[in-house]
Amino acid sequence: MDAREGKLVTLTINGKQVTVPEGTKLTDAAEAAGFKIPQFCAHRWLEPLGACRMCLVRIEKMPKLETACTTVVREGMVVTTESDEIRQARKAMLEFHLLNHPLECPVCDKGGECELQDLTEAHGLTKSRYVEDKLARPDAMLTPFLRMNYKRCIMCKRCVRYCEEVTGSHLLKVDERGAWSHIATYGVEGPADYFSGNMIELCPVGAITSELFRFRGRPWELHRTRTVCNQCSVGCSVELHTRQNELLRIVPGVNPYVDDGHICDRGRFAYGYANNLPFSQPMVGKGGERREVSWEEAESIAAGKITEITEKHGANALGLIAGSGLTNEDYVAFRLIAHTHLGTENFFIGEGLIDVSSNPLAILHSMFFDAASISEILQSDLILSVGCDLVEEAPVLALRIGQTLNGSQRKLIGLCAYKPPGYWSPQEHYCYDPGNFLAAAGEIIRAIEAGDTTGRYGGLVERLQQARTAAIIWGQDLLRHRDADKCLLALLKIKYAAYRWREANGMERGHISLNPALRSANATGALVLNNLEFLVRGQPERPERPHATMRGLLKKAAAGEIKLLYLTGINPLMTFIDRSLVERALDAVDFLIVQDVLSNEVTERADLLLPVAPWPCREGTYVNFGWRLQRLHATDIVTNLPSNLEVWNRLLIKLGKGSHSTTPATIFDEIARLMPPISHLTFDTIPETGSLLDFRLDEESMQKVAEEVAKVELDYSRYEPMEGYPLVLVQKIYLFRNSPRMRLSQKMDAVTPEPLAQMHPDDMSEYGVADGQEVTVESVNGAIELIARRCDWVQPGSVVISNYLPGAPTSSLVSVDENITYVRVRPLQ
Amino acid sequence: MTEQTKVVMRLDGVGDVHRLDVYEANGGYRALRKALAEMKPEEVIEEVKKSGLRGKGGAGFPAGVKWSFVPKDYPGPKYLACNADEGEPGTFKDRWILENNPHEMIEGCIICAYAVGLSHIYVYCRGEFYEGKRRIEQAAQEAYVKGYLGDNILGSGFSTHLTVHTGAGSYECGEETALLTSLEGGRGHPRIKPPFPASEGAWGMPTVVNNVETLATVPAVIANGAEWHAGMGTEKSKGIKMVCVSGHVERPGIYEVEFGVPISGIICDLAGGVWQGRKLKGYFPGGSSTPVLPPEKAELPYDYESIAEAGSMLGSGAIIAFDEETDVVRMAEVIARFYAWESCGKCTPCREGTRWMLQIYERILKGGGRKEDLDILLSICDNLEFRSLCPFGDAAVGVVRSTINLYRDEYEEYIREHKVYRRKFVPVRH
Ligand SMILES: Cc1cc2nc3c(=O)[nH]c(=O)nc-3n(C[C@H](O)[C@H](O)[C@H](O)COP(=O)(O)O)c2cc1C
Ligand code: SF4
Ligand code: SF4
Ligand code: FES
Repeated sequence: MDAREGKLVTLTINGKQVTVPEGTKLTDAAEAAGFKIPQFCAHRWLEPLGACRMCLVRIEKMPKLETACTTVVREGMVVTTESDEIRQARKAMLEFHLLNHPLECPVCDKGGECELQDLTEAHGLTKSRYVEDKLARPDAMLTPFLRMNYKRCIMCKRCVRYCEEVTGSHLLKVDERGAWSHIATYGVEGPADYFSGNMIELCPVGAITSELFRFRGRPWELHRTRTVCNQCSVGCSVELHTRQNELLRIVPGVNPYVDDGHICDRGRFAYGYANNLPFSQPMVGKGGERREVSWEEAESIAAGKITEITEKHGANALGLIAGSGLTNEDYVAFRLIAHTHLGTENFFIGEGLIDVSSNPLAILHSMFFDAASISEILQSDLILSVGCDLVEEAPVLALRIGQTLNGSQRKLIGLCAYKPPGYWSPQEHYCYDPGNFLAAAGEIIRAIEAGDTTGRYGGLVERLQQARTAAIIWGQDLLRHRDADKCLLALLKIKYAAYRWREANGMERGHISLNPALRSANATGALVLNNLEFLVRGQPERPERPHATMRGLLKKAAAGEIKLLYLTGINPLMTFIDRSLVERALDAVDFLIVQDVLSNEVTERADLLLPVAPWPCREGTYVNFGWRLQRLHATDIVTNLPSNLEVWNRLLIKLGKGSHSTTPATIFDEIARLMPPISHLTFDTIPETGSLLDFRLDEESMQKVAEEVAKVELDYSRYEPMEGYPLVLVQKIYLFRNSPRMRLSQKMDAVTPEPLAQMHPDDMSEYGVADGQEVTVESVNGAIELIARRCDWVQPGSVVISNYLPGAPTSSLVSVDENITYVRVRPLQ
Repeated sequence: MTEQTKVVMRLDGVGDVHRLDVYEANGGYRALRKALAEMKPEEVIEEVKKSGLRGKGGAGFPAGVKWSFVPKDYPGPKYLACNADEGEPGTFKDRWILENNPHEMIEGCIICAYAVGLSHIYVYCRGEFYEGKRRIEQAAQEAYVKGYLGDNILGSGFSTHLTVHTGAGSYECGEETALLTSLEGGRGHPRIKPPFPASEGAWGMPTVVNNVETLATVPAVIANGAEWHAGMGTEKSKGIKMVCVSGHVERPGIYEVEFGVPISGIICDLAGGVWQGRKLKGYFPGGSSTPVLPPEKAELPYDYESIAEAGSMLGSGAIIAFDEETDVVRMAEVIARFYAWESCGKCTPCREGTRWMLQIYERILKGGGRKEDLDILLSICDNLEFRSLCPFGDAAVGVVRSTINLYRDEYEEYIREHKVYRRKFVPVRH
């Protein structure tokens, strides 16, 4: 395509001349000329099929009618799309489509947004000539979420092609032949399709419908609110459909810069919790003594405790943490309260996976200034996914990468402690020794410098050297490493080594971007606002005040220095890498305030629980993985729960420390002024597709960063093995994991993986473990019980475990003071 | 008196021709030796072009012209797909070649591969041809051993290989693009043309698709020269054709004739005429896909042009004759069922239209016909023909439209009198 762009073709459609780029489909050319050609099987995501025959047109000099969707425009083509002949043909094709289609629009979920219904009306087909028996086949469940209504299917195969051409899952196929042909699954066990829900809108009729939405509402009576998905950091646009205070379904909102209309099944289907909230009132006390209190009383208790502890132990005895799913406006208010109003230094925003303090300049610069937008990533010659199972960690990004790489010369290469299993995996993959990314990085850097492409990572080295533009996406295996900061510095070193090699070999330097695949919806925003001063100055200088780190904060709490811990939207027992440190911290503090939406381990342990309104009621902004600032909109759901801003404001008033704004708009307008990339925006002028937060620096400043990185000394040696603990723990994140949102939504248990200790077959025989057997996985820090599973994709010498298992969190095996976690696996008697 | 002109079938009657030694003893692989030793690839294509050899799979497209469409300096591999999926009702000539004269076809394949520069030959064999598949595989084995296949064939420096692939019993897989998709391991669904297989065929590579009989004629064309072949037949339909005669004739079978002989000569002189002394009611000139012609049109010369002019097609060369006692409505229903069951289901008009027509036939034969049914049938034919994705849809309407036009009174009788056809077999699928 690229080479042909720019060339134009002129043709005549219904007597009207149009000029379109070469390579344009006739259907699109007609649309550009103002003539809509009906289509069922064609779709912009899919290769043309030419099967439904709705798009028949007359092309001069051709003996038969031709399908416009499969025809590419040619210079001088003369086309008729509106004539008696064409109208007759369309009517005939519609009649064929309707033969076996039931007359049940009034009870069909698609009614009101159905392409078949619309065209039938447009063509005035009111009477059927068909008096024979219609074919019927009982409904089937394609996935736990998708119900197939066979009678309505018009066999356009959009669904099958989506699974083949876009997601690559090959979930669906066609069975049988002729009029009896029908869509079916292969019926084999295996990873389902994480994007299957998109087939609901893709299906032009009501054949594939959502089991969760089935018979729940008619499209025209739903209230629609466009907002941003809050389930991962990709930040797809979604539309929330509500009626009578209930969230009934989520559909894609279509943002070309982010999702292009795809959303993942988690984003689409894990919404039931919003109608199923566990708390409606603040609660005081633990366990059996817990009781509901009024907001008035709750505020008094909180204010009383804060005052008491500040008076007794000083303001630094207050510790505050805000999780990475809050809005930017929440974070601004949070900083203000913690730092200015309460006066404590012990506050932190985010999950604290990366410790910025060790080398703030290099790390922060790479986080802010080397990052790429999603569009830039998609256009890179090389995409390198490091320590990451992209489809689990950033699903729609993975899908779009797969889609743009299809049939192109560009490449996706993986580098990880395991070979990502399942249907979605990089074209080329390299494994490093589990837990030893730094050693691998050392080898890669040496190979790049030496121009040696024969080693273990030879292919990767060569591609890095050759790629004009590359995007590195690094994920959980590095982020959850105790030395995540060192891993990042190593990636930076790889980047600069590649730059130097290219320059030394007479090539233009090119560009390599680095994006962390952070887990939570606004983890990037959390990063921005945890480092605001630094960003506002925007220059490569060292920040004066070393930041409080999550690790430092928890250690202070465990040591008894922090007496009151106030957690907002975070359960560190699950998210922090070292569970025992969090346990000790929680045990040591005198008073625990937890402010959250759903129930989890820390809400259970809170001395004071402050429930807040859920995501569908939230206003504010998020920053996504690709540094796009997007606006959240609240639906029409009325709640009596306050927002984070409201809770904090009331608390401030109670404390007699004045008040701050509770409207995100006011706060946003303040931060926007401080941040050059968005200083032209106000809350109400944020575009629907968002706005890029572009912090990139000029060449000169980047040069300073390069120097800074060069100064860093890294130790690339392998970690020593540990006697008695022969395996390395590898933690992996899954899209469907056992989080509170999942637990409180319908059907999620059907897709959430079991708690598994995934091992290489050789290790299983070595340690006498059978597939499916119950085992304990034990480190010097703790033990968890799991089910062993034989997996070829796991490297020998390691065990791969999901890091989100309630009751068996991998964080209980890990110590924040060790840089690699060794474990042993034993069968349970 | 119409006589046969045996070319592909010239060794019919010689025992064990499927064996390499017997085939060689009867002049086998001489054409290949000649091509490799004396002719440049372009010269082979030129010779086949000049001979006027036309495809015998149905469309009658000139073989040499098709070969010349394949890009010469294509950077990747190019393939030959030999279409041995013979599924058209009434056609059984390819089966005879596969079982009785496999080396003739293989020799033709190798010559074609040499001429066009094809590195691999895929023989796509109909799934039910158990014997034929075995014979081709044995013959290919022998040819490999003897150095006719494989690397550096007969020391010429030219290499090509052969693989036999069996289908799974779908008529549509005989359509060339469906064949390629099925060969690739996909569902037997046709693809939109263009691109034509000669530019983008199997696995996206340029691919020649030719019928078994077409390829089996090639050795004779090379051995005897283009003029010899062009000297037979008519002006536009040159050469010979294996004609499968079936239906109500005394001696059904395969008869190889020059194009241009009278059709009545094939039916009467060669196949022994209509059986039991009955009269001819009509016939399909080229298999079940071709419109039925009335007895008055049995005097036509047997060539593509004359039959087309009469409103039908020579097709794959299968004459199905039916006698005066035939229940035409029932006959049409049988064929309509074939098309309904064999439609691949990819495109809407064919998928839906073929079953609709079958349902109407079934209702008429049960005594439930309505006055408007014939108009509806004809209008389904109009809506389906030339509007489906592949020519299957056109094939499905031939019998319906032609029998309604020729024997309308029989249809009307069924409808008027609510006549019921007494079935011997009940079709299973609904
Ligand atoms: C529905 C359908 C079925 C066909 N079946 C066969 C077949 O069984 N054998 C065959 O040789 N050609 C068959 N053809 C024709 C092929 O598409 C193709 O034209 C032929 O193989 C080309 O070879 P030729 O040029 O040597 O005839 C079929 C075509 C259609 C539309
Ligand atoms: S289920 Fe929907 S998308 Fe799939 S073939 Fe049927 S109508 Fe098309
Ligand atoms: S006409 Fe359509 S449904 Fe029929 S065989 Fe061809 S592609 Fe399949
Ligand atoms: S839209 Fe062109 S054939 Fe379906």
